[in-house]
Amino acid sequence: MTIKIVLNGRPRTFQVSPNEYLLDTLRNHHIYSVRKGCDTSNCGICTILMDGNPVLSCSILSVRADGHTFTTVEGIAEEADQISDFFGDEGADQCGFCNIGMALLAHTIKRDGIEPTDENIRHYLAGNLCRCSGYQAQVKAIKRYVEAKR
Amino acid sequence: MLNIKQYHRATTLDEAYAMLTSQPANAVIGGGAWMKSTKVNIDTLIDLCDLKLDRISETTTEIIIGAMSTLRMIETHPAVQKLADGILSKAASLILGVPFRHLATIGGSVMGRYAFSDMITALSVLDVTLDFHHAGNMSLQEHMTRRGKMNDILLAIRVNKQTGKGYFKKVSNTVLDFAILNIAVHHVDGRFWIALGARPGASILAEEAMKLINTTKQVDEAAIEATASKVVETVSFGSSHLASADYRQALAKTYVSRGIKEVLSL
Repeated sequence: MTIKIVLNGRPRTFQVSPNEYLLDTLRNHHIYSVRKGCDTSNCGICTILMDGNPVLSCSILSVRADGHTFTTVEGIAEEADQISDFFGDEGADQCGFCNIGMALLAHTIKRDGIEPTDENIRHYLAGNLCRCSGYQAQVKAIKRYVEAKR
Repeated sequence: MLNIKQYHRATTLDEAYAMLTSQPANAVIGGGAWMKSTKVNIDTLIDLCDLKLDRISETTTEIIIGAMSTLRMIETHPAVQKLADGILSKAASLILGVPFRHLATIGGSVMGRYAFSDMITALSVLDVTLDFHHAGNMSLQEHMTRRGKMNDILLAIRVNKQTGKGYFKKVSNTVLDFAILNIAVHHVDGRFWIALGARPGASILAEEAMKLINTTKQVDEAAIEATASKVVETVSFGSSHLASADYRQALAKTYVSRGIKEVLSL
């Protein structure tokens, strides 16, 4: 089947099978920032934005993606660099595997005007697993980032 | 492993229903969040995403939640947040993370009749009916006890606007894990509704315990204790990899008691 999506502002066309998930479609087309972790909806590593909302690309059938707009971290590259600086300052960068999903969630928190309280940030980060840190550094980094950009 | 031969995006409900009933191996997709974990062969997967079922609306007496509404919509909708102390919004907010809740749909939970479903436990203590394309309107309890494959399309969940006080507790080993036990209590118009889910069986109302407390003249500490004990005596609990039946019974007794006290503001 052919699907047409808008990916990071550009129209793209992909050939997909009915069993294929968007995570695999994107990675098969060299979009490696979308990472494969648990592949069972649990770890949040594969988070992307679908029509502006954060979603798990491992759980969206590619055929369902037809007609929608998607943003990966490349679509917010400049902002992701800034978020990365805050992560670095707070020591939140370790292996970096989970940072892509967290950067997209930080972008969403700022964009939606969510009050950057610890509770709200933790609510958004829940489901985005990090095996290196205890999350405290990421919460601090996102809080500082959102406060700085308000 | 999940195997889908064909995908079809329905343009009308009649078309979707005809396709669903034409072949036993055809199926409707809800949010699709858990679909990957299943081992089924699907001939044609029917998608309702273009049928405008992802709407939450309200009348003076009801909140009507379209079957394709996501758990995130339920979590954040102002009218749903007001319903019985936000019992449905709270139950939704405890399910994995925001990205998951933007995908999973309430229709998927209800039609899946999953035993682990937090949403069904919360819905069970509210005045809820379901609109089906073919079968029309039926109660949630009737739907939960139906046997066999659901050869119908869920359109909406109708929740009577009630001004009662609600309590929902999900007990799990970790925040992101499936529930060991779900407990919901609703106190409305002088009556109590108590439901338990993930026992590990599907959610049920604690009918005997409800009868006991609803016929008690003075709901004091002793009556609450007796009601919680009645839940343990009359509701079946089992063991699973998450917890033993004994542990679930102990949890049920404690949290039913806490739930009743909370809805009474004791």
